[in-house]
Amino acid sequence: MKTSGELQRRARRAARLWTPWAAVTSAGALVATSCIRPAIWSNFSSEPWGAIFPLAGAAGICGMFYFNRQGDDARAFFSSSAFIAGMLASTAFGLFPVVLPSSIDARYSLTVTSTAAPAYGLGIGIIWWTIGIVIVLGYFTYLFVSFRGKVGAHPEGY
Amino acid sequence: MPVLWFCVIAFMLAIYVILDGFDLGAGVLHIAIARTDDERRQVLGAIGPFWDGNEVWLLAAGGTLYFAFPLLYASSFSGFYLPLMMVLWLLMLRGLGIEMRHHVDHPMWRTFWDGTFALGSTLLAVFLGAALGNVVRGVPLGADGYFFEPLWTSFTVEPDAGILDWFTVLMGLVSLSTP
Repeated sequence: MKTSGELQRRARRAARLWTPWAAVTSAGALVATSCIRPAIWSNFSSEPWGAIFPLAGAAGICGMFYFNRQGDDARAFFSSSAFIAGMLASTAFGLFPVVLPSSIDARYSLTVTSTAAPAYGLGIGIIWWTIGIVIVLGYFTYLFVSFRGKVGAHPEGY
Repeated sequence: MPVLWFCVIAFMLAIYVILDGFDLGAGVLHIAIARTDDERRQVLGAIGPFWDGNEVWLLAAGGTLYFAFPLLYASSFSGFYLPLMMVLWLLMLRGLGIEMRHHVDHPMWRTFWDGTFALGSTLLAVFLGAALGNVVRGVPLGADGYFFEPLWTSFTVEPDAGILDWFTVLMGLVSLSTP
């Protein structure tokens, strides 16, 4: 996405070779997760709308295969991002409300409610976090727009 | 409100994994795909303006965890002390690999720091995946809310499993193989 010429050709080839490996290891991880923590699927049964997360991940990996073959680097990157976000969101959705499961006794697992700070602090914090995240997202947008496009053959500083 | 903060932290971690995943991928692959010094400089130039900013998402997520879920922060940072120190060293190793290579104009010096960059990036990807594996598998949390895990025990998924077992290593490989 950021390189050109022979380097870009080799990077695309590496991405095409690695995508099937990502699909195989992810499928293996899915089976393994179902074996060691079958309860991770219970939230998907009780709240079927949560299926949107694994579906986004599946669409992401399909997009990786397709756009890598097309040589469309930007869409391949966004597909990879959708795959990662979908997998992480699926994990969070499946575990919820548990945030750290106990392997000794499920009663000792830490949950969202049992570990949260007092409501007053969280209420004030969300105001400051919102202000902060707007500034951060603005900064990151400016940064990525400023350095958009391909890197030259002799980048400054490296 | 706690559910909202759970979503906030999940969002910040997802942003970190996506953005720094780009940098880690460049580190893992650059030795194989960039064969000349000019090509390696191009790879470094591709992540140069972004990598340290991307890394801050992880620190910000940690700070937010401390604010919103202090008990979870205390329990996990205490139990995962050893792997967190290793992740910290790997983050430093990656940064050193990027920033030190152009300080001395000698091929051996550059090759060494290129290797450091690749090693740090590869192990970081594996360890971050293994960390997620630990959260999915579970940790030996007691009634007091604390736990300790050695780096590995028998590599089986038992209640006294270590940080690395077959499942968490598999999750590390998923993380490493996601392009």
